[in-house]
Amino acid sequence: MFQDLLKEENDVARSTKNEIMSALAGLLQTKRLDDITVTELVEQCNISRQAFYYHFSDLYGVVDHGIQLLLEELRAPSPEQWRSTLERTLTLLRENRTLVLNVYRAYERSYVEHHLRQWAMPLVEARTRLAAQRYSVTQDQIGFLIELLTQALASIVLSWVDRGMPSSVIERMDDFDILAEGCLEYTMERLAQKNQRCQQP
Amino acid sequence: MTMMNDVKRTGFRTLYSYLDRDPDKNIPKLMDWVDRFAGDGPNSFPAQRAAFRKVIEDPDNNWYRLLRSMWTDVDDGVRRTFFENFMLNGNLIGWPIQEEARERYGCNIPWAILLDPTSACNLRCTGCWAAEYGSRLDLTFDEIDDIIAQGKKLGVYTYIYTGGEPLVRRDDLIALCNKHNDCMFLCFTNATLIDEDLADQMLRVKNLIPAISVEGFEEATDSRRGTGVFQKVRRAMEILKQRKLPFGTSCCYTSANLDVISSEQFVDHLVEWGAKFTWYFHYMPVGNDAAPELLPSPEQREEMYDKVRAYRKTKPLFIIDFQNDGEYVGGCIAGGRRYLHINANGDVDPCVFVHYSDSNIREKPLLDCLRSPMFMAYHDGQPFNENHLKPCPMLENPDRLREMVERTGAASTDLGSPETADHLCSKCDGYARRWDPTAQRLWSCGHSCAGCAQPCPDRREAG
Repeated sequence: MFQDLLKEENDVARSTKNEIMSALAGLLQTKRLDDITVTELVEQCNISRQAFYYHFSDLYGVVDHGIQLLLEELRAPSPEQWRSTLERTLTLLRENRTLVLNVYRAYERSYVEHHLRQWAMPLVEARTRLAAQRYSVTQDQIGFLIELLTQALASIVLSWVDRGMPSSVIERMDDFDILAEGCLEYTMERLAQKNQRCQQP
Repeated sequence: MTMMNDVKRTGFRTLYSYLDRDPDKNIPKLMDWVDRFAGDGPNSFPAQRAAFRKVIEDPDNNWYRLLRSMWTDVDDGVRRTFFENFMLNGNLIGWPIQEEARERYGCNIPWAILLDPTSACNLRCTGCWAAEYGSRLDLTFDEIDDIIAQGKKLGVYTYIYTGGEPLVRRDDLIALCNKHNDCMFLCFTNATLIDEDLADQMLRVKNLIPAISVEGFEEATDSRRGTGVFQKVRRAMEILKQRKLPFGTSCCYTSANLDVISSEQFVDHLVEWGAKFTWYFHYMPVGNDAAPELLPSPEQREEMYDKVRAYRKTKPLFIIDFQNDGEYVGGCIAGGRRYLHINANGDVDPCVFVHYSDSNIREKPLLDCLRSPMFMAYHDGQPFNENHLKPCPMLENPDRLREMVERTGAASTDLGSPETADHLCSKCDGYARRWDPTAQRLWSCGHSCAGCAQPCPDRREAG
């Protein structure tokens, strides 16, 4: 998964960071993150410990960096493409199942949830704002819907990872898309009606 | 302890976020709460609270201007890291760990560790041993890393680099800042290696603050350090200022430069250049090539004493004069009482100026160094004088250093110019005798009539 992201990196610092990320991705194929040491990693990519620490505070810093790159990569180019972006994310995670689980099991659940929300929020927001164009709803109401759907999406993905990432959930994303659309359209319509009633004397 | 520290961390972060949202409005509000909680009991620090309130209620007050400039002149992330690493870890969390270790091991445990990453320097300054010293010595990355790891176990979260020129090892220092991102690092530097790239890295790691050596204006600096050095220093300050990176200055005062670097004009320039703190150091006649004539006269040292106290009431600059401020820290802070010094050869010296040791960090753990005969001699002997204007076992009490070195068998660790303790101390004997009457007069005046509103008859007004 990381390899594709690394192509864009070019200067010296980035290339060292990329080597470190690639080497860690390699080690994560066979070991959990909390069983890997910095010494082992720097031996793998043939750099000194100080070169590692110049870029990262610890191994979790490497993973954080990888996640940030991934989040940038997985930003939907347009609201209409949110469905394909959802699917692409889950497929990518599943293709790197061993690595993802070896990282996931070293982290606190709340930390993973935080990152998942970071990923889900922009996707949900773009989709929600697209729907909101047709209804007269307030920013507060839009914010509430974004919060609700972000929470739902992050929870679905988290429990999917928890269960070892079965492929059936990827197909289930179609249903989630329908659910989200229905939820947004129906709720916004009702909210717009409510707003209109409130405005009448 | 861990749970208590979590409570401290959460409380501190909540307070900090509150302050950070609107410092002008929230600093006084915070003080209202402190007053309400503190009550008026005997341990409620009424005088301190009143003094602080006076500061924060007067926007023109120099200390308020300095505090406020932490928000206007310092990057948000760097300021947060400073409060977290220096105030929270270095004091609220670190201090109780240090105290516990002091009690458990019966020795000094430092608050800060000074260390020389390298003996090398990129400049060739007149009179500096680093210029003459032939071979280069370095503490490796792993050695420094290990010292910090040992220090943190004892509650030490503040590390200060000296040298040599520490920034010769800039990449290693950045890596150490990154690895120990819960610590605060200060770096004495000639500043000539501070460029845009290094400043960007400092902004990234957020926990490295330079203390730039300045000894006067352009002519004085360049004549000692080389042509163009002053402009490089000014450029470095500009680069730091542009990125909202805080820095301070370090000034060594001698009989030759004291008039200039203690002048109001110079201090005003430091503020204008962007310095947030200035550490004044009294010249020490260390090494065979030392020039005892550069030792300030008693009149000059008294002038320094007066001026620093006057500036503290007017200038938005945190000034410490290490030789004259013993009263605030109970005298000598070396020998691990508040700090110690590890040179580029790994020798663990009691003080950055006292190069006699019986321990090397490559041979024993830090805690064993602190329990070595030389460090225990400091522990048992401190304070070396009840008059904290005569704090040093070398400069003002040279017989004390002679005796400690003799008794413990500590050897000279001076890399450039090893000398016997007697040779060193004999350069201080005359100074100590000459300073004594002034020190006694200042001390008795400052301490016998504490709180009296009348100026002492035998003290001239500061200015």
